[in-house]
Amino acid sequence: MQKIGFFIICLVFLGAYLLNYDKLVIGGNELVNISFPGVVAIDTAHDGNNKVMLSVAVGKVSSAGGNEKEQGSEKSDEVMAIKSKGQTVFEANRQLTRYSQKDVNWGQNDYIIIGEEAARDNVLKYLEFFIRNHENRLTVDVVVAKGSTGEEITEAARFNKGDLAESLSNLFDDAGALSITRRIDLTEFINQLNSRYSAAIAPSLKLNDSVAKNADNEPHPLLEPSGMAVFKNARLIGFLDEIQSRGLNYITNNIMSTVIVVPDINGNLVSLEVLKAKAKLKTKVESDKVSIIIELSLASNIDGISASDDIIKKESLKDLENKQAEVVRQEIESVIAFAKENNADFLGFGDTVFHQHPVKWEKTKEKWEEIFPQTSVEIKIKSKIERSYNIFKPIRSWEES
Amino acid sequence: MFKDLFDKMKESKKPSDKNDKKQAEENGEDKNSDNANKLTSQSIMGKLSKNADAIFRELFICGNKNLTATLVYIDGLVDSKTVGDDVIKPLMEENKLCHAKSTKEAISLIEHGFVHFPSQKTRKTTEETLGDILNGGCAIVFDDENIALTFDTKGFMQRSITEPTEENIVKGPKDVFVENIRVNTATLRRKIKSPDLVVEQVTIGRRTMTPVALVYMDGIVNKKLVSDVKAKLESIDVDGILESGFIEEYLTEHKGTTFPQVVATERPDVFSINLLEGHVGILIDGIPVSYIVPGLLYQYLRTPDDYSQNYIIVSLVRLMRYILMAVTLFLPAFYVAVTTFHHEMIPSRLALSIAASKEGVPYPAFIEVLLLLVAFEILLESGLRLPKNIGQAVSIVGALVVGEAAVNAKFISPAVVVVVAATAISGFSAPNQAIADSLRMWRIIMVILSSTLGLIGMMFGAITLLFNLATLEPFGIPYLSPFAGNEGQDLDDSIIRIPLKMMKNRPQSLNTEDRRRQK
Repeated sequence: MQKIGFFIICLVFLGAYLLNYDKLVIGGNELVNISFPGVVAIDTAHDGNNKVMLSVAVGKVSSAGGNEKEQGSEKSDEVMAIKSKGQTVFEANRQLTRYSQKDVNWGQNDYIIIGEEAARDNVLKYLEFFIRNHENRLTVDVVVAKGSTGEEITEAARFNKGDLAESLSNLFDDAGALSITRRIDLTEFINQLNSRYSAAIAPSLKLNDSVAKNADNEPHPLLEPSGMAVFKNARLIGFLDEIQSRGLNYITNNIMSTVIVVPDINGNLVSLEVLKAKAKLKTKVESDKVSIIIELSLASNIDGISASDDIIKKESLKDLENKQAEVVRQEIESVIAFAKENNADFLGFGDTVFHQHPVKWEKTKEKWEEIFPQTSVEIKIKSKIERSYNIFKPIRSWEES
Repeated sequence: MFKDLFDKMKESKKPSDKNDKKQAEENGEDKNSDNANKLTSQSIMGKLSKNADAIFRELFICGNKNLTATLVYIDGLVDSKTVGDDVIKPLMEENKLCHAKSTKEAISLIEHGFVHFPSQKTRKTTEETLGDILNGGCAIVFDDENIALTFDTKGFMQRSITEPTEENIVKGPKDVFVENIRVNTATLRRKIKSPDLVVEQVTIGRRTMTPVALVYMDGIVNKKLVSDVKAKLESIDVDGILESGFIEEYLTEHKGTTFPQVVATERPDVFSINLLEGHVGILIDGIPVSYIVPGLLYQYLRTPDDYSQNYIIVSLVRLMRYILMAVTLFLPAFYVAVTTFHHEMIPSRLALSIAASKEGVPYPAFIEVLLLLVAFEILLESGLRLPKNIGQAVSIVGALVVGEAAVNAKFISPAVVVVVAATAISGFSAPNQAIADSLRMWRIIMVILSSTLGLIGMMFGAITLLFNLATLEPFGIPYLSPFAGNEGQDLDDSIIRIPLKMMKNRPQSLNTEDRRRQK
């Protein structure tokens, strides 16, 4: 009898549990009641007390039931852009839920875009929330909007009619073909910011409306990764252009692939595809002087010849190798010049000195601010053009001979 | 106990047969009561005379009126031709028997082969004789000497050995156990031609008197296991053994679990493999399924095919089976946990498409999953025992209603249908459905737990399940062996299977007398 009673009580509790499940369960939430920002843009707001504006691009939930009627109407945007303002990021975050009708879950966030104005302000102020919040992933990529606000970029996503997080992901994946920028995730960015002696960098993104036009023949803004943003003391101090960014990537071994265009002996352009670029930094510390040798071994393929000259010869290849080295040297020098000019060690020189001369670094680090601009840098490039399958004679190369 | 019955029957005895009356007159009342326990045709008649199918026939051996005997058999159980040709004919026509001077001499002659039927037994009690008769023998009862000679002339109709219906394999023998226990022991003898194959027989069932055979390999099996199983069998005191479950449940030591502890198989090859490993087998007359004790977890997840296919493939397939068991147990719970609590664990795109598929569905994920799981159980149960034609209709209606209409009507989301379908199909991948059935309850418990605490709740469930499994020790052997309880030995034939040539030892957990199975 007791057992039956116990069983009945269990059943009653289970029934009550099922009927009131929504209210009883703590901490859970249904997927339909949650919006997942894929991209969040942070800007400075000028609205009374509200100093922060968050704009999120939320992937819109479209009924993917596969109904043919719904597929016919393509008017609905796939991405919603929602904005909220607050005195702090956290407050703005809470304000977001007011408009979005759903709880905001940062667990699926992929990109943090910092507006230029906010970046020139103290960037830590805006990022702190995303480090502290347990929902947010530390692997989100940090991007700086160049010449625009972050809000404008999330707006642009609506023109592109796509998932902004995904288009950004595609853009940065493709950027590897030219290596003019690179991904930096939140962990790396914060580590850079946290370093006392070096500066931080983050990829930058700008809106380019000169490339495409829409159906109404109006300029259509497209997102374009462009160079890198340089932060010193957590404040944006300037942007590296694409050439300088590539120079930086040569030094920091972040070249996936890129293209170098040089003239051959006869002045016709030859395109070289960089296959391998590996840099090694060697440092020397003498009292207050630091000299750095960058040893770069560079290998490329000939991927395009614009004339019929047969350049697959020892002398002309040698000439191409030298010219290639020269182009790379200029790019590297350009970025080093920028770094010295702004006294921002985002090149990793300080770290290299610390790793190679840990004892001497103890003395050097105190005056690193003064020493860094005076660092002498020597660039040694082992340039090589690989003899790959691409080596066959140019079309109509008999004309010359 | 049979004696009591016999006595009771005797009290209410009313001679109705002509033979009976005649016998009663001849023997006289007091003699009958004196010799109440003596074996006479009278005493047998007392038990059987009411039966229409019991045949009594007085014979004069070799036409000699002084040598009388009564032939008793049950019509339908014996092969009449055998009885006529091999028992009656020699009794009538054998010359040597004609010269017999006394019944005693005749009995001796018959015992020594003048009735040339091979299987003959001499019985001195009514009970034994009745047992033989009811088992399909015919008896020649000599009232003078109180002796019955029984001949095993079984000849009733029986199912022939067909192909297995429940356990199909790709390669390997296609024979199957049938209802007749003797045919089954013969099948085994044909597979294991060793004198060490022991077939002990006990009779279980107060009324059905079912012969149950205890089969094991002498010299391999642990004697303690045999005596334990035998004691367990002998302690069964029920009216009848008509369904397999009767024995199965009595052999299950731990009642507080859903997991099977007796392996049931209809395949003689599976049975033999287990005998050679050191398990004990049980055959029951009238049931075409054999039992193997103790049933351990790994036995439910292997098939005879595992030993006839490439060992690398088999290892991968077995790994898949174990994973699928985990899938069928945890997938619905995992889905509930992830969609309700751990949203960041879902890839963004998938989160959006699940959310999209749930648009407009009124119930939380947990209720959806629970509804569909219950619906699946209902479909399974209703389709199982229906006649084949209706069964198909049920599955079609079920599939249409659950798969199509319920989704279109926004009762449940397609994502949940996919999850529950994957769960169900994973469950069907078990080689022995007993193990998949035992997970059915746990699956729902897991879902309920994960709906309260997410993955933590699911882990609570998993730990409880593991605890339950680890406490099981059917006949003293750890249920989880070889994964637990034997210091990591025997893993060569568990989730993976190493080449047969390298499998030198029998399972350690069975503690067999002969450890090595090959040099």
